[in-house]
Amino acid sequence: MLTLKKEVEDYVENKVYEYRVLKRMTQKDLADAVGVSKQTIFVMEKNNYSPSLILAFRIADFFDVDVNDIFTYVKGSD
Amino acid sequence: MWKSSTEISNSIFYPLKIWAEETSGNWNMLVGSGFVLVLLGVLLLYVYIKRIGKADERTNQIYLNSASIMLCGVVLFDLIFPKEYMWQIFFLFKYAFVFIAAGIYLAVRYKKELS
Repeated sequence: MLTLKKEVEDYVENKVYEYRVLKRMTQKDLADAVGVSKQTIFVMEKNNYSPSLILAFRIADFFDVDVNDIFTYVKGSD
Repeated sequence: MWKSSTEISNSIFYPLKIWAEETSGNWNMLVGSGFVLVLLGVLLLYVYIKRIGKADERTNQIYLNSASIMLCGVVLFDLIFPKEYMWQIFFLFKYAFVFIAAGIYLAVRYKKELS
């Protein structure tokens, strides 16, 4: 039987939700602090969006942690 | 033999012209449906632009794609629709269809990101 192999692209996993809850912030507060829309924070927390390097560093800088503590590169299957 | 694009568009849209000019009711129905489609497209765009959010690195990409869909639609419909007759009506339909196409793209992106 012919099966189609589903290719998964590389993506960036993140712990934005955990850090945000620790700081007792809303998505809107964080969005305003890092200069993006609330919806972008929402889809990022669901791991449906991989942020740009600048945004990743901006978020890490805001939480005062290393960027690798929040963002993890996940290699997709080829 | 190959037909020119004008001949093809005439063969598609000339029957519509005949039908629309039969009675004023038909003409009003055509104009009315065009306005309804434009309103529907504008409403769809407005709702999903609000839902997707203000401009940032993610949304700019989405809006750029939807704008390119609109541009392609305008060019395509300019080629397809006749210019010799009822051009105001087809102008209305052209914008209605591109607004709806861009709105559908935004809706699909929105649903995809929520899933």
